[in-house]
Parts: sequence; structure tokens; C-alpha cells
Amino acid sequence: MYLASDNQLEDDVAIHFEQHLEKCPHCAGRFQAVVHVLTLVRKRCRRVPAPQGLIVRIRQHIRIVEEGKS
Amino acid sequence: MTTTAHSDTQGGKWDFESATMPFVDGLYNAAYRMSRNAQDAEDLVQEAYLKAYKYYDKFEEGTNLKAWLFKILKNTFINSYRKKQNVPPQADFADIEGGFESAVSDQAPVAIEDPETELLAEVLDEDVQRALDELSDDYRMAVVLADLEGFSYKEIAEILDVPVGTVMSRLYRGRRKLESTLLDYAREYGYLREREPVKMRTRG
Repeated sequence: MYLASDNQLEDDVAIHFEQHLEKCPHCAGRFQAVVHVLTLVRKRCRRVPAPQGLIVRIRQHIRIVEEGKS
Repeated sequence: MTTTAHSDTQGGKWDFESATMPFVDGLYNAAYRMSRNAQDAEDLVQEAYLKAYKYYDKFEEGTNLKAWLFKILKNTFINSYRKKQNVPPQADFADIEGGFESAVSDQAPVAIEDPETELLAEVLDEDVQRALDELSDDYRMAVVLADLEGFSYKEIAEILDVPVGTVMSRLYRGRRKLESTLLDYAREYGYLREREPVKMRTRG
């Protein structure tokens, strides 16, 4: 199920899987639930952006390391 | 300083910043998900960048820079953060119990049927994050890399230093746990009544 929802099935297995889903309401329902949870996580779990100034602080750290070397 | 540290004769170091900074948001997001704390996440990312800078000449050009940076972040998290927090390493059940096949076969099904899908739609964004936070480090790391950062199984295997089968096992278990936690929340809020089909709900 998860392999299929990640599009990681081999082509022939994927076709077989899809054919099975058309005939089996139980698996079709289960697959829908799996895809739904993954969609929830992917779409609704907010990405937390890096705080402003983090890049500047990283650059400053790198400068300090560089100056320590020379 | 007599010469600039970033002269273009430095075996690629000169372009370290332009090459790696586009990944700062993704790295921070993953660090935040792992540490669940803004200050710790920032410290982790800074430490990871310093390590990456130090070993940048060991990075093979043409290979996956993003995966390489996430691997350094993962190592930083395990080596520095967990130690600092004095957290005992968690038993990795996925590794103990073997690969994906055993993970699939030995877990009792959560029994989610079609109608429950719609009530999961009522779960709040905060709940998705809370459910993610409740996963063990190993499972959360796999889910964050796959579902938030979009890495392939192969890339995650590379980042986590585990076989692809273990990645699949951790993702499978982590996602099943997420699913059941979200359903628990839904039940808690009364979106779903125990053993009662959703279509029986009455509204107004």
C-alpha cells in the first residue's frame, strides 16, 4: 500500500495492484485511507522556515573558523 | 589575512555557501521536527553547516549534496543532541525485528475502513504535528525525510546509513502509528464514535 502510494512499485506490479483495487472495495478503501493520511502529513504539516538571521549567523561562524586557520 | 579564504583555487570551498544555503530551510525544518525546539534546531543546523564546511572537500561533486547535508544533520542530531539531552538511545525495533516483510506481517491491522477517511479530514493541522511529535526518533526521522522533504527510499537509506528495507519498515511503522494516533484524536474529539459508522453521525 505504502509502496504504491509512494509510486515506488515496479510498473507491472503497479498495474496488477490497480486492477485489484478496481475489483476489491476493501483494499480500495484501505488505499484511499493510506493516501489520505499521507496527504494530511504532506500538505498540512507546516514547514517551519529557518529564522531570519540564521544564514547570517552561519556565515559568521564560517568566517571565524576560516580566520582561526590563517 | 594575505589571501582571501574563498579564492577559487580552494577545491570548491569558495562556492560552499552558494551551493548549500538553498537547503537551509529544509535542514532547519527537519532539525525542528527532530528536536521539537526552535533554539536546539538552530544550534543543530549551525553545527551541521560548520561540519559540512569542514568536510566540503570530501564531498564528491556530482553526488547528492542535499542528501549529504541531511546526513551530516542526522549525525549531528545523534552525536551531539541526544548526548547533550542525556537521552538513552532508543531501541530500534525495526532493526531488531528485521526487514519490511516482518514489519508488515507482525503488526495487527488498525482496521481503517473507507468511511473513516472523511473524518480524518477534520483532524486539525496541530494534530498532525502532535502525532508526528509522538513518533520515536527513528520513525519520525524517516517520515520527515520522506513526507516533508520528499527524499526517495534510496536517499533516506543513504542519509540514515541503513538498508532500504529498514527505511521501508520504519516508514511503514511510523505511518501506521501516525494513522492510528490521528484516528485516536478524531475519536477523542467526537468526530468518530467508537464502532459506529461515520454515516450514522447526526448533525443539526
